[in-house]
Amino acid sequence: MSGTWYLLWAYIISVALLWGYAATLWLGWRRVGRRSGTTDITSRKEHYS
Amino acid sequence: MKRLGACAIHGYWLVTVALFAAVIAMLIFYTPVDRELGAVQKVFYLHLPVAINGFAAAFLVFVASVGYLWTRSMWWDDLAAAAGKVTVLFCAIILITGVFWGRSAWGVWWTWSPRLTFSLVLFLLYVVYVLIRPTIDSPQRRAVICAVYGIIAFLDVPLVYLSVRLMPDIHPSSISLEPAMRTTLLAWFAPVTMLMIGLVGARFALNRRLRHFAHEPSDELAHPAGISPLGAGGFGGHA
Repeated sequence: MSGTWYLLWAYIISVALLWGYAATLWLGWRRVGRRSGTTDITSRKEHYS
Repeated sequence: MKRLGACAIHGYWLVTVALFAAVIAMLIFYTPVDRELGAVQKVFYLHLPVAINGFAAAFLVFVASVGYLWTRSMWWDDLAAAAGKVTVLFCAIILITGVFWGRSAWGVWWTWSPRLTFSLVLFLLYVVYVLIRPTIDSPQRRAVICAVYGIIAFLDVPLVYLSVRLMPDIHPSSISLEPAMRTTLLAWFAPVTMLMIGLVGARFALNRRLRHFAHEPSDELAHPAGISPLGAGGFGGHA
């Protein structure tokens, strides 16, 4: 495998991990939002008090 | 006001995605290829910002752990838990980008050089940190144990940084860059830092919300006897 392929794989795996984790957080927010009756949990600030 | 907050969060993530796309385009069309190492040298532009931000996330675990032991507020424990997970993610990427670099530059996937070894230890320390959290049922006990562990685990970060200076190591301690390469490196810090802050923030907000749903006391200072208006109860797996 050439240096270009190593570079490509390093970036593909890294970017997939970073944005994959961001996606799981987004899904977590949606799931929690459904439990509280809304998908927009930023609109339910009263729970933080 | 609530709508403004939601817009600010969406705007933050849009800017992060746009900056990420911009630096990738910069890497392809603007950054010159290194004459000695070839294309694989471009791994460095992701490797270094992720490493610095991984250390920053580990430092956040340390600060939040001290904060918890000082104040006994679960706010700090939720922050430490969020930063711990992001530290694991960033350490994994440090190792992944490093092994691809090593295979191309040194001809081996892995070598037990001091910096690589301490980096692997750092990754494993925070994997253990994330794994032990759900195994402790009592929220207070979990927070104390993880705070002490988070402080001790951070001691490996200076070792990673200093190892390459204090011991003979195959890992480069400094790299000279052309101006265009330096610009690319500085540009990469922006989206990676924004991503680290965004991920910690999102995970922290999720932890706070999950703690509320689990009816755990959200602040020990406000309810020193552990009796909160939210109610009390065990919660094992959220953080």
